Amino acid sequence: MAIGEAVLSRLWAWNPANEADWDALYAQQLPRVLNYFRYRVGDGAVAEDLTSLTFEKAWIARNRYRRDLASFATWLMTIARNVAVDHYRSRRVHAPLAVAEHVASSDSPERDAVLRSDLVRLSALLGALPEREREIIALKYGGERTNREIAKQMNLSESNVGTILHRTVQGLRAGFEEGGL
Amino acid sequence: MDDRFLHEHRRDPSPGFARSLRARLRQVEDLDAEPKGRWNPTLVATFALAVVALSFALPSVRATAQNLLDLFRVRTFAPVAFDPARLDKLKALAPKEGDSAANMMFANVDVLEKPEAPQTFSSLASAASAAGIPGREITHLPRKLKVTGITVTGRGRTRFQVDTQKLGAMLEMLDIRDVQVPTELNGQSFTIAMPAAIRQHITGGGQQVEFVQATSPEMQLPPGTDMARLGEIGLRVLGMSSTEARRMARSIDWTNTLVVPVPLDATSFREVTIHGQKGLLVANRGESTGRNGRKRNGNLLLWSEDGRLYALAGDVRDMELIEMAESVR
Repeated sequence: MAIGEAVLSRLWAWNPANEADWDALYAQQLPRVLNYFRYRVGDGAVAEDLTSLTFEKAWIARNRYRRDLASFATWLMTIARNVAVDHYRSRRVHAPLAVAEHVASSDSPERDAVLRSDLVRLSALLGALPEREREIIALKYGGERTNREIAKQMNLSESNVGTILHRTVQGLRAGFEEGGL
Repeated sequence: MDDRFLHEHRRDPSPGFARSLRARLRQVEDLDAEPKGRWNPTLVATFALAVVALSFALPSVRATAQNLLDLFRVRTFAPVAFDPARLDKLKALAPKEGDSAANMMFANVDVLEKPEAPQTFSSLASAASAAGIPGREITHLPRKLKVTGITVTGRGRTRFQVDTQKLGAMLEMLDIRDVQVPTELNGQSFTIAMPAAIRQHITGGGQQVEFVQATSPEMQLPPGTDMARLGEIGLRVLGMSSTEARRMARSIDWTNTLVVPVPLDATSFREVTIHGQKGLLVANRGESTGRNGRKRNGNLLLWSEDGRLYALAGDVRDMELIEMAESVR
């Protein structure tokens, strides 16, 4: 098998997936995936569970990903989106960001209370969004994806994503202000 | 658009959660590091060769009365892009963990001649003598590269017995349902002989190149094999569309063309000329950085000359690889 092995084993050996810095990838992507789920499905424990599931699926199949970091992020977010869909199929959850006790603590109890209050309001507003708008918000503000990346992942045009985002954020902001922003 | 209120509600993962998840992922990495069951390069190469072999294994519709077996020798190459995810899919479909693609296609895989363990030699002349081929030398090595090791891998010969039922089942598992596997081939055998090869390991300045030379692998086929038809099935297994596979299968001279499966997510390839012969350059444009932060590229150059195959593979620039190939004497 000399030539055949030489050909393909060399190709395989240079697959940067084999030499990726998994610690760095993990550190970079974990906040994005976790926040995507926080904006998408809410509840701290559920978001953490779904984040774990996403990373475990990705790690098991990680040698499949395309070689540059950007595509790894896209691939990971695709897995996350599928995990979210499966989650919704099994159980309807409409309370993104709902768990106020998971708000990061600030310097003062007063500020914490404001943050919790804001979070509860934002959670309610996100929960009332249509599926597509909520997904775009989660990808943008949780997953830190660009409009172009979101467009590609959701089969929309970039300008369409921009328009939807603008409209949705305006609506959320209006709702937020009404509640005491 | 003022969207700060949305950004403000991001939060970092709690250290405890981040730590415990990372620990679980490390367990996955450790499992992958164990050789058992891993879809390793050898398995990939075996799969690729099995696909090539498959291309010659199905029955003939070409009328022939000859009893002698057709003989296949490599003189040229045909790159075929394939999706590595299909390998994962095949792996997942394997009845037993670690089963090779060959076991999923054939009734019996008999090793008629087991290759000896690679032997190390101190000179090209002694390696060439052991391999039974005139060893050729690269007369131009760029920068600090030097030949640092020479090994010879032994000759091997394997016989495959076709099981059309297994083959059909595998095609079905891959969702290839518009291909019929002819039942009359069931039980027929073909043999692949892989020759001894000289491998020269060339390193220096943090770079490494491998130069492989060998006579062509030989494949003995059932008489009158319809190669285009079989090739079409092989190309479908690699993920090519029905139309594209048919077109390509009919344009290839299957008596002397080695199909080289090239991962489509990794590479670009182009035809080059080495010593006036057509060769294939496969370039892996590594856009990511390794642990050391260095950009990684890899190039592979294949060509055939005087009945022998040559491969140069290394993390040097494509032009350097071509210059090295041109300097082979």
